[in-house]
Amino acid sequence: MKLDPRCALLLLLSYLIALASIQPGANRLLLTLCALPVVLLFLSPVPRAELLAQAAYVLPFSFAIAAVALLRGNTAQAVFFLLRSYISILAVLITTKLATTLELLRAMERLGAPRFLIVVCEFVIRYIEVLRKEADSMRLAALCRGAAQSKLIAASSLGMLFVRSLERSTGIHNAMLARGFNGSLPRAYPMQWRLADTVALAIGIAGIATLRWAA
Amino acid sequence: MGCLIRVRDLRYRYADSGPVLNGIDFDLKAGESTALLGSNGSGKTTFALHLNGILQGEGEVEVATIRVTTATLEEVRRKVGFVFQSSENQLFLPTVLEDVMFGLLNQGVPAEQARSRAMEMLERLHLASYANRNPFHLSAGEKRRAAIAGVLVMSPEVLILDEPTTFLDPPGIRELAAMLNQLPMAKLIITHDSRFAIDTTTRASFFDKGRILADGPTRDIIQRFDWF
Repeated sequence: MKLDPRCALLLLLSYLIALASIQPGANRLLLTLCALPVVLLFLSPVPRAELLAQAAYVLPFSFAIAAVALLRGNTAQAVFFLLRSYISILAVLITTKLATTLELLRAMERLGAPRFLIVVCEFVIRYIEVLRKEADSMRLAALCRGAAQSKLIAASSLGMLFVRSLERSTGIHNAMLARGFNGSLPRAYPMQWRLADTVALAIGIAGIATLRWAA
Repeated sequence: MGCLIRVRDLRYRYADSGPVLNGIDFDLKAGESTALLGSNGSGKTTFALHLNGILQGEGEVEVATIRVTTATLEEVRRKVGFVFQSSENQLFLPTVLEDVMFGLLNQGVPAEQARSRAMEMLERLHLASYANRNPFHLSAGEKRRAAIAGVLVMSPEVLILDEPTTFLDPPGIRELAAMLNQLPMAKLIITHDSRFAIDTTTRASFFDKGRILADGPTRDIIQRFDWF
C-alpha cells in the first residue's frame, strides 16, 4: 500500500533532522542512521545504481566544508561531513522516487508551503519540456542558416526564449481565463490521510528517534 | 431562432498597435455554425476573444442577452467555450482527466461529480484510455480532442474554435469535422482551411483590416474572395 506523500515527507524531514543533529565524531551513530536509507534502497522498487550515482552529485559541494576539516588535519571529520551529506541526498532521492514530483509538491502545499510557490513549481515542471523543445528548434533553425555553435547564438536564443515564454504564458493565462479561472487552481484529487499513514508515521518517527537518541 | 451572440460597433486596439477592430457588427443564432475567414492579422481572433470577455473593447457584446462586462464574466464564460489554437497552451494540468475537470471545478462542481462528467466526455471523444496520461505526450489530434473535451464538458451554448486544424493531418481534420458536426451548439470556427469551413459551417464572415467585408453562405463567401 502506498503511503500518503505527506507521510513520506514528514518521515523524510524527521530523518534529516536526526541526521543533521549528530555531532561530528559520533561515527557509530552516523553509520547506524545511514543504514536506514540503504536498507530502504534495497527494499524499494527504485533504480538503485542510478540513485547511488545521483546522490554523489552533492559531493563537490560538501567537499568545500570537508576541505576545511582536511586543512585542519582532521580526516575523520571530513569523511563524516561527506558521508552525512551523501546519505541525506540519498534519502531525499529515494523519497522522490516513491512518489511523483507533483504528488510531493501537493503534499508540501498541504503541509503549509506557500501555494503560489507550489503553483509556480508545477508550471515550471510542466512547461520546461515545451521550452526545451522550443530552444532546440531555435538552435536548429540557426544552425540550418549556417550559424556556428557559439555562445553568441546561445545568448540571443535565450533572449528569444524569454519572449516566447512570455507569449506562451499569456496564451496559457487566456486559456485558463476562458475556462473560468479565478485566481486559484482547484484541486481535482483531494489527498486522503488514512489510519495506515498515522501508524506508519508514528512507527517511523519513533524508530528514527530511538536510533538517534537511545542508541 | 433567437440571437445568441449580438455584437454592435465593436472597436479595439492593442496598446502597441493601431486599431485592430474597426466597428464590427455580428449576430450568431442558437445552433448556427459560422466560419470566420480572412487573412492573418485581419482581426478574427481578436474579435473572438471579445466574445467571452478575454478582451474588452468599445461597443456592445451580448451573449444570450447578457452584456459582456467585468461583472458578468463568470456567467458569460459558462456560455461561451473557447478552444485555442495551441492545444499545449490549453492543456496545462498534469493529466488529461484533471485538465478536462478544470473548467467544472472552476464552476464549483464537486470533485467527484466533475470527475465522472469528465470521464463521460473523454469516453465520448474516444479519449478515456488517455485519462491519466500527460497531455504533452499525446499526438496533435489527441491533444486537440482533449482540449475540446475540456471545453465541451462545461456544456457551453457557443463553441469557438481558433484554427482547429493547425498541426492536424488530413484524417485528423476529417475526424474533427465529423465530431464538430455532431455537436448541437452554435459554433464559431476561425480557420484558413476552406474545405474544413465548408464541411463544418453553413455561414461565413470575411474579415479584412478589422472589418467584416461580407457575410453569407460559406461556399459563396469562399468563392467570392477566391479563398481556396
